[in-house]
Amino acid sequence: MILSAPGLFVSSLLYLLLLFFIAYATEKRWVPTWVPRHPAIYILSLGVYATTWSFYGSVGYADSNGFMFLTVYLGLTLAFILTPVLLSPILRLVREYQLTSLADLFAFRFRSQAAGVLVTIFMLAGTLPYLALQIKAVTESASVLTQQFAPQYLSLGFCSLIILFTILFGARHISPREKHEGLVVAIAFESLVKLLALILVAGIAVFGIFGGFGGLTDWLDSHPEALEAMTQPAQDGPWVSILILAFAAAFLLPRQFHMLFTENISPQSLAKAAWGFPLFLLILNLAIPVILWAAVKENLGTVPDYHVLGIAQQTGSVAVTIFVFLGGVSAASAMIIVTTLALAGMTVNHLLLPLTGTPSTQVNLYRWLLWGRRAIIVLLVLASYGFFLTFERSSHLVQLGLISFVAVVQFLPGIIGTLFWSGANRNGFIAGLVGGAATWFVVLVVPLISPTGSDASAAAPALWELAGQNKWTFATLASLSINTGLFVLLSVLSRQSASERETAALCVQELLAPYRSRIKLASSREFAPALAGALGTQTAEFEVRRAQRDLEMREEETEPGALRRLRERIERNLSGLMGPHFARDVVEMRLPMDRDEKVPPAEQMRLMEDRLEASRSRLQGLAAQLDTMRRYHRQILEELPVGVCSVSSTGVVTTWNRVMENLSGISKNTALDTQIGNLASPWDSFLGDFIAGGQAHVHKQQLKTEDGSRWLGMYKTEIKKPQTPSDIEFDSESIGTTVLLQDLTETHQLEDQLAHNERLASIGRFASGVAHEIGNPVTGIACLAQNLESEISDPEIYSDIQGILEQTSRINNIVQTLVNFARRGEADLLQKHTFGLRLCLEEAEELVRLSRPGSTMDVAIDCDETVEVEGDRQRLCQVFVNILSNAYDASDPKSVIHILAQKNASDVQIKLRDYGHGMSKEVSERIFEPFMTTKQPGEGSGLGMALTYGIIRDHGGHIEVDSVHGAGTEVRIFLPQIA
Amino acid sequence: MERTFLIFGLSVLALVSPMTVWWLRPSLPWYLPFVIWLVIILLIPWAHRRKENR
Repeated sequence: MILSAPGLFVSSLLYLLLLFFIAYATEKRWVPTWVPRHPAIYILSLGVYATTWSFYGSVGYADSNGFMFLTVYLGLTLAFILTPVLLSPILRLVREYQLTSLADLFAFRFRSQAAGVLVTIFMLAGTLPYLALQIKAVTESASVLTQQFAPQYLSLGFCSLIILFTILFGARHISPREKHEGLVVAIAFESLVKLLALILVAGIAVFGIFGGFGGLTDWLDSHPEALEAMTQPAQDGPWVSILILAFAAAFLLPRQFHMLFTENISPQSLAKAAWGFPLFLLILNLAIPVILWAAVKENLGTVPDYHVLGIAQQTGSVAVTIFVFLGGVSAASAMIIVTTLALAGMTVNHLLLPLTGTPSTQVNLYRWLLWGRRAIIVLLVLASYGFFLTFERSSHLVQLGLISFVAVVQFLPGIIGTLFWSGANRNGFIAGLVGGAATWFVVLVVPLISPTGSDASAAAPALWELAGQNKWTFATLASLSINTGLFVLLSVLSRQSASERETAALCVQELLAPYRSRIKLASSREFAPALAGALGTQTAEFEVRRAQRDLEMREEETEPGALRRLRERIERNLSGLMGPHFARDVVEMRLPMDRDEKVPPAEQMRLMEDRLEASRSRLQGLAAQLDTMRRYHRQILEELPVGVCSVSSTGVVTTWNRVMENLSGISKNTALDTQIGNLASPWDSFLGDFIAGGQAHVHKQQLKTEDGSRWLGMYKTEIKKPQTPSDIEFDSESIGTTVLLQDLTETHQLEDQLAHNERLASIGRFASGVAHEIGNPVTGIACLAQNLESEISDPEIYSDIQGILEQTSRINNIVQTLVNFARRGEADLLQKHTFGLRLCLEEAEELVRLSRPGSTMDVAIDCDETVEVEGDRQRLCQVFVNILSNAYDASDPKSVIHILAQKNASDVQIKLRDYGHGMSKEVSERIFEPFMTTKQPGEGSGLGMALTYGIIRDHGGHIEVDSVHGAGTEVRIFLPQIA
Repeated sequence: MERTFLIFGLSVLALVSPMTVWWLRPSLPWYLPFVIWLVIILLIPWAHRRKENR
């Protein structure tokens, strides 16, 4: 079956347009946001590792080298086993310091522009031919299917679409923090197409050609030479060296670094990818031997590299053949897109910027960098196309891929040094890389580009033959040993700079000496004008604002610690834009440190804590024990039930525990590193005055906040500089003050309530005594008056006696009320039973209404009939009568009184609300005191509410009153639920 | 970390050492290399469990 070139071109075009659509739909959020963030998408996107080398070349490689083809994936699996010690630390550095490429990482670690430049140049040299190879693979695969030389427009059109896609979806944002989700999903889709295409071909091979797995087994049994051809070359070949190459390529190839680290959205996805990605590759590779054996069985005429296409063609189905062809297009396009993007970022940061310098401040830096990157993308794809056009010598796909791998493995000593050896330095790294690259060039590249028989190409094979090794083993081991040897030797012999020592410690997570200097600028407002000289006003302002947002910092910040953190954050963010070297240059020059002014030790604690936390997993032995002790002590401080606040000798807050956060409502992040006087009011003056004052202990002090008033007990102590046992007898320097705050608000309220109850009780006792003393003489007066009443016939005197009797009766009523009040505390006298609240309320309302004939007051009772309470019904009815009577007296006759009663989770709540004249604050505060009344003499005894209060307390409930003068009163009664 | 290094060591033993000569014999099932690879992959999540890091 022969396909037409235009047909293949249109298929490729439609497929790439589908990719455009997927990426666009993702960017536009037409697909759910969890999709691009799902670990499966991340794992599939790492499938960019499988290029045309894997898709087409693996079968060819298996044909000539048997199971050796597996080493390219087994080496990767070994690297992914080491995810926690190898990949995760790289991801941490990339995310924390906003690094976008391997060149950025090395330039950051070795504080060297030369390192970045060298890595970029070597990466370009090692990768560009590999890019050309992808174009070649697509063109050759088209030739296989059309059985003629593929037309130029096919490869040119392919390159043009790749450029367009890469620019549109890979270079949308300049900051590494903004991920290209559309690109990630599109690359994941391409991996899926590759996988499905290979599974399809394998399925055709097994079921279409062998007639099932049984047929395959039978064929292998009858052709033992096929299995022999798979196993023997693997035993004799450069198994170990290719494993090493693949181990390094797994995370150092530009495309792998880009997808693994730069486009990583969540570190948790990397943990899943540690097993998920090798599993993806295993499934992909299961197809390879089957396809090879099927091709051997069918004696296909295709080149082994394109057996995959040959088997698809064998089916005679155009759809299957085109789908498999698109699998190859996927492999090539994904590799070119991601590699070009990674290389473009490196080239802009480490070749373009050093050549041109930062653009004029009049130019928008973001646009300059973005268009610079896009221009480099175009140049890189065109350069690859140029390579492809001039690449006349026919090489196997795998050969070029392996040359690229040997180039990448030269970064292995550097990355190991970066992560594990703080003594490694830039001289060692550069020397090692130059040595390794030179060996790579002489052994592998020169024979490739030189005419056969030249001196150089003749010398190189002689070298590995002399060593008795395979070419790849020799190239790998020779270049790596020269590289490593020079790296170690020069690192040991030469010294590190101070800045290199600092980043080395950051990379290996060793502890650092804390900052001892302050930044020269006094306020965060000075940052943008200072940076404007290098970045332009707009960019500088945007970057400062962005860093402040990242740190949740207010617009104007003057604390030295906060300013130092702002400076660090700006450097990191700029590193994501223009590489770590330029970012550091700009920050060092524009935001300089004042080396003369030293930071007090207490202010360095937070930084030490942060660094200890970051390095925790690396601490061992005594250091780990000390760290455990530190964490234990810190936890004690955090969990103390009192507020702890430490302030340095310069007034900067250095400790702020959880209780302090709750008490003040000021978060730890806000409080730490802030001058005590800059804390939110009223805490600034409250703490500041206490620290400055002479008292070491204040028993109880009121603090008025927006939420009300708090009562706090305060203690303070001066903190001296820690001493060794030998100099304990000398007075040491003070390094700050620690303040303890105890919240006594609840205790204060309880004390108030107790005093109030005691006052009520004493008034009750007094009233009871008075009632007893008055009651007896009044009874005597009433008896005498009754005697006189029977003896006197004079109507005038009789009338006076009637008056005496009325007045004594009134006195008796008052006395009886007083006695009731005095005796109400005897809760045993309560006759408790369960009753419906609504009926009780209605009865009280009726009683009040009867005592006020002609009243038109509307009383609205909102109470479900199922609401029941347990208590003395008569007394509670008295309570409601008392409250309603007051409400009637306080309200306009045509007014309304609302009664709402409901059952809550823990109690029964009854609200009685009137809209009368209300009470002043002074009156409402004293309303439960006996004899407290606002009524005219003779209209009320002033004992109703006091009695009410007592009855509710006797029932185990409580009562509250809210009143606004002129607006009405609400009385709330809370009674316990029925037991 | 111990588990990570344990699995890495075992994998190196299986994939790099002369052990390869054993499982690359033609008399064994052709899919044996894939089975060994799969076993290693299945051990990775166990090796990376965080319990050991605490």
